[in-house]
This record gives sequence, C-alpha cells and structure tokens, in this order.
Amino acid sequence: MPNPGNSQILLENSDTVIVVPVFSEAPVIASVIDELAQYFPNIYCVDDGSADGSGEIAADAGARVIWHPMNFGQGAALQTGIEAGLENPEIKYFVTFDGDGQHSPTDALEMVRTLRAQEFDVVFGSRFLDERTELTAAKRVVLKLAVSYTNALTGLKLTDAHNGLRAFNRNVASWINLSHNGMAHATEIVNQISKGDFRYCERPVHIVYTDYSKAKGQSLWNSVNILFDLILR
Amino acid sequence: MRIAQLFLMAIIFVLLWFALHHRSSTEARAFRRIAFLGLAFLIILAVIFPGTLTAIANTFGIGRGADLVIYLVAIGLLFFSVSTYLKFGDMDRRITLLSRHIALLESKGDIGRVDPDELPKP
Repeated sequence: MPNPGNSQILLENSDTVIVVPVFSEAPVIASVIDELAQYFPNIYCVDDGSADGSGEIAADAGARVIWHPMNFGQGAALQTGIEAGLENPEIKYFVTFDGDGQHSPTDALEMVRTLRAQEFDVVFGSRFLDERTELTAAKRVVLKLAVSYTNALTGLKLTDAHNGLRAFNRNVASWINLSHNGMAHATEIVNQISKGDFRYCERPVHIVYTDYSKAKGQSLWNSVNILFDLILR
Repeated sequence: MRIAQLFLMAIIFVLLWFALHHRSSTEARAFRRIAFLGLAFLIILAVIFPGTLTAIANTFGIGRGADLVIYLVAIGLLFFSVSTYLKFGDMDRRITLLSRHIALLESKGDIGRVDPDELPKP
C-alpha cells in the first residue's frame, strides 16, 4: 500500500510509467511492485509467458498487467510495455525496471527527476559510477567488454550498457522499436537511441545481487549468444 | 593456394552475402531451387558415373570426385543453416508483433484474455 507521506510524490509521478518485464518472478514480484508503488502510481508489468503465476501476483499487488501469450524475451516485453504507455497521452516519462528485485525504486525516482529538468532525453543507469554495487571479477570483465562493444558500435560513451534501469521521455519512447527477441535488446536500445541524436546521461544506480537474482541472472555464456544475435540478423 | 580453395571460399562468401541480403526475394527463392536441382543432378551423376565427377573435380584441382561432393554438401549445409536461422528470426518477429497487438487489446479490455493452456503446444 502506498505510504500517505508519499502522496505528493505519487501525484507528481502520475505522468510516469514504470515498465517491468516479468518472466517467472513469483517469489519476488509482489515486493518489487510494493516498493515501486511507494513512488509511482503507474506500474505496467508485462508478463512474458510466465508459468508460475507471476502476472496474477503482480496484478494483485496493484500493477496493470499485460499478458504475452508466450515467452518472447525481455526486449519484446519492454516494447509492449512502452507501447502501452504511449497509448496514454498523459504519460511523459518511461522507466524500464527489472522484475527480479535488483533495482532500487529510489534510483528510478532520481532518474525521473533528472528527466524533469528537461536537460536530457534519456538517463541510463550505471552500476559503475559509484561503489555501491558489488560484482564478481568475471562479471565485471564481461560487462566492461560488452560496454566497449556497444560504445564502439554506437559512438556513445557509456560505462554500463547492460543495465535494465533506464528512464526516457516520450520522444525517445516513440522512437525506440525493439525487435530483438533475445537479450541483445540492451545493445539495441543504445544503438537506436544513438541514431536519434538524443541528449543522454548516466546516473549511478545500485544493483543488489541477491541469491535469488544471482540464481536467476544470466549465465556469462549468454554473452556468446548475445554477440551472435547482434552480428547475424 | 589452389584454384579449388579460392573457388570454394568465394562460393561460401557469395552465399553468405546472398543469405543475409536477399533472404525473401524472388531471386533468392529461384537461386535456392537452382542450387537444389544442381546438387541433386551432381549426386545422381556421381552415382552413375563416378569417373566423370572425378574428372570435373580434377579440373578444379581437387583429387577425387567424392571430395568435391563433400565440399559442395558442406557449403549447402552452411547456407541452409544460415538461411533457416534468419527465416526463424523473421518469423519470431512477426509472431511477436501479432502477439503484442493482441496483448495490448486484451489489457484494454477490448477482447478476452488468451488462455495459454488453450494454445496449441509446439
């Protein structure tokens, strides 16, 4: 339930949609929605063909749920949520937020505030801008390689390309069209934004690697699949 | 480098380029059919006149006719995998677009929700 002390923040954020792609996150999705609902009234969960009732749980927790009849991957789920948000002309800002509880709603709040200042069209979350996020050495290396690749491809200068927490305005939301069904969408988003000549910045975010998110998170092997998807399409 | 090596590598690159750029065009379909018939013809030829095939292979600098067939089959297989991979990707995209449209209609209450259990199982 929303905390009454936050009613001002909730009112202010009624022009913002949080897009949460959900694929089998039943153990954590209710608490993710509850925490987001402290600050954001419009939470759009895209249930990407979960088999564990995640969508129903998210709906009970108060999110608007859009159901994919099958699993299409995170990029497709994000695109669906973004299009749902675009259908409402009141919506000015969009935030993408992972459903596994690794992101912090207050980071999202800060990113939307940055957008409200109208200096930037896109705010990317980066786990490498402060010391809050703890990473294993292997993961750090792979993420750094990924970001070097993305930067070389797009000409942007980012420190963290594969971060699910991003915020952008309506112009960017209408511009992006994610077609990759796999995980390569993170690079695809950056690539499309780079072609649109948008003003972008990064903000530090804290990624919490719980045992749950670690167990569910991508295997490093998946970076091979992502690379392949990006080259051959 | 021998002529055969250059020739085979050239074929691989041309086919890959073709698979990537003309995947659903009329030319691509015609090309696939010609390649299919050509390969079938070569195999029949190889079965009936093993000597002829070796003669053809020799003109490319390949020792045996069977080796020529192996190379061509390998190229055909590579071409087939790439074009199938791309085709499935295109199909995935189309299914995704259709499903997204349905999902958005459902969530607005315009139509009832698709029950995943009722979808045909692959």
